[in-house]
Amino acid sequence: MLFNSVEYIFIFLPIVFFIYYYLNAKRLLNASKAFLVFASLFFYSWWNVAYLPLILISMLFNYTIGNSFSKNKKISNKSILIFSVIANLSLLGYFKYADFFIENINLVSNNNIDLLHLALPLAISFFTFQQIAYLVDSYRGETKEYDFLNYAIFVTFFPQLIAGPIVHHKEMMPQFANTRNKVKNYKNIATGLFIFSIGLFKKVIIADHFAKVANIGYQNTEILNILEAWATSLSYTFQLYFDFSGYTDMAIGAALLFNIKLPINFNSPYKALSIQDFWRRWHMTLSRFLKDYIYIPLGGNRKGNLKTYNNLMATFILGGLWHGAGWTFIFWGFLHGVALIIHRVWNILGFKMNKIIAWFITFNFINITWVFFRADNFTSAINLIKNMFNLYTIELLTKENLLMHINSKPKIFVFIFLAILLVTTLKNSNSFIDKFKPNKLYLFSFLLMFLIATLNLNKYQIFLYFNF
Amino acid sequence: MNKKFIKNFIITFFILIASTIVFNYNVDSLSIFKMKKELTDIAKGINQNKIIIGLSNSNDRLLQKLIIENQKKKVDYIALGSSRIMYLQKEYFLKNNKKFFNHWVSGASIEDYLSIIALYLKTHNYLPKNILIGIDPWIFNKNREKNNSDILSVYSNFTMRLLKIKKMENTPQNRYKELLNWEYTKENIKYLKNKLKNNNTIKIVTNPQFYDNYKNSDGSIHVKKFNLNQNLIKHHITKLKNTYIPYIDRFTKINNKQIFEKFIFYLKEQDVNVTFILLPYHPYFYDFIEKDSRYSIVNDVEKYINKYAKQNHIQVYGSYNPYKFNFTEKYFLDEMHGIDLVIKKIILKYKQKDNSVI
Repeated sequence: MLFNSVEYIFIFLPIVFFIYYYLNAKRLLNASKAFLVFASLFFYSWWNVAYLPLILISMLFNYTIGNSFSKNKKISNKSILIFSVIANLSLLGYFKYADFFIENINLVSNNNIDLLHLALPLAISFFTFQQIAYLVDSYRGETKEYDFLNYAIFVTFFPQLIAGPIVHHKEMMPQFANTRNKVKNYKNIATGLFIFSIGLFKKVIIADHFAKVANIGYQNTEILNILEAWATSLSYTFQLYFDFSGYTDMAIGAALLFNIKLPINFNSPYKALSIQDFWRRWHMTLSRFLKDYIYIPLGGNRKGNLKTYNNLMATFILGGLWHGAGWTFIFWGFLHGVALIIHRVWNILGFKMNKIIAWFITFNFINITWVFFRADNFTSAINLIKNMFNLYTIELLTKENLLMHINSKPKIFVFIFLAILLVTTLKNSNSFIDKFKPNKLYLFSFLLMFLIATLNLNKYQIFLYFNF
Repeated sequence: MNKKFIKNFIITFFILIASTIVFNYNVDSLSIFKMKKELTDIAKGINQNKIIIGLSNSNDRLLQKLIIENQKKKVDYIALGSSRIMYLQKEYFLKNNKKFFNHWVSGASIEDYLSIIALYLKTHNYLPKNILIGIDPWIFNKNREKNNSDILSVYSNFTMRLLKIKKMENTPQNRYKELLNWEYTKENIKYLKNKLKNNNTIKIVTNPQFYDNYKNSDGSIHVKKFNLNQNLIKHHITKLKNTYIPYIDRFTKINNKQIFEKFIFYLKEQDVNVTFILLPYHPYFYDFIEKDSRYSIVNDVEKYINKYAKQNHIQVYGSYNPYKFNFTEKYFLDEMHGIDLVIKKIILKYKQKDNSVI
């Protein structure tokens, strides 16, 4: 079920909300938890019920392993951890990377092994990572002993199940256990609805409109003129941000209805003044995961500069691969790894840079690297980047062919300019979580955003991060 | 304070949403939710051999349903297809008392073919013995834009069950979502404004001689004189070439083959005489799609249809290629619609060759 669908907003969410609090009001606390798990699994299965056994088996397996760390005496905990992490990664690898692996084997060995053409189970990257984090924390003795119902809520809680934020058990479990969270909190409900409507507006009105230009542009990368090429790349840059941060806002807003505070995932990433700054602001829960469970275990920055650069590169290449099974994703991760290493060297050498220039370089680097992230293949990515700098096409520009290949009008640049202003000068939606006031101004803006978004729900598009 | 805020929000929001829903449901310019009396009158008028003046912006799929339901006389020949076949009229190929009806709908898909067939089977328990199918390449494109094909989905599903087909390679949209659709709200506001200005009057008349443009009683469209400005048409096509082309955009693979073949097999099994009609594109446009790799699939569709027809002994009239029949620019209204003479010439050509067919 999509957050930006009529079924979710007007049927699923209100029904779950009322039944959950009704059960809590009747002091049926376990029943309310069980209901929330059931509702979350229903939410998950709405897309394709065939994937339901997969998430259930994955949950049971990881729960059993997580519990065995404190009880097991015969086999070393480290062996169990290695086995369970490999099992999780194998599951992810089978569904997500099998065809990529076969394609490369075929390419190298000149064989023609048939591809498996497996459909990627929804949210598999997210729930796998979340559970790997749980296993590692259990192994380290950082988890308490939870019953299966609590664990199931932690994994399946529908606001964050499909595309994050990737949460830690230690930030979720106490909230689910807290009895004060079982009663309706009108401040949380009002704030949650407001944040949800911001997210819905971001997705339906902003991201989906940029998507139109980006989609056509990326289909025609070889024939774009310089203006079209920039409009295409910038449209995707904003589509991705508003799409994913919109999704996250909706997740945070929906969770607040149940008095659950999800961690923030975006902190105005396009305000970043360096690539390191960007990764502290973009998909923060993924960055946290990569740092805690890959970068630091590899040694982090504790073993000298060269080793640190190696660790950074490995972390970002794996981060790229996590986003998709393709060389363009790996290359995107590699480029970010290179940029982080350069940034580190720059800092060590003690260089400084003017803030505006720093922002300009960072933003453009991010914009250009998103081309590899989005393009179907290297040829398409290189065509687009070449056309972004192809000054010869300027001479050929006429009033009629200005933005023809992307089926757009010059006002797209006005929208892009407004989007730049919006993401660089205004506060982000997180600030409303604490500052929200139930006054007329909020009510008016809330109504306006929600109404406009609702009337545009019929042409909904899937969230980009559902594919990762 | 927060409780009051939530209450105010919910009340105001639902008042606004409910007003929009009530407005869209009641105005319903495309008769998506309610069969307008107007549409039923048109259907009855057509079945009484009357012509319809000023019919535009109506729900053409629902109209086909009403026309079939109101038919009193058995129909011998029908045409299925999109607006590209709308000028096909009985006089072009039938002089006798046989009854013909042209069931064209805008941007027809295979679901539309299935729906019309299901309506004949469910309402009258027979199938017309001769079916001419105007085959547009986009019926094989699963990525094409959706029209209102799902309005008759209950009927296309009926035929799909009959053909033992599980699902189409695209998903129709739920029509009730139109109640909360801003585009449909705008369409309804426009419709209402026109209606208030009295610009939207439809006439059902017997004598066509006083009118230039109308829907014939056989479902076809009659236009007395086409105002063609080739410069404007070329300009329109040039613009299209550089953007994206409706219906055949993102058309990379021939989809829906299985359902198409099962459908034709079923018709042949029922002893229906099937004829395929391929209508040409504007020469200027055809030159472009022939060269552009993104649209070369149009020619692949033609090859596939010809091959399939040959294997199954089905006649194919026409071609997407305008040069095959010497159609120059003056025969076209836009990139995909020929004037009435296009289909007339094609039919006549085959009729001269083989007098026994249609």
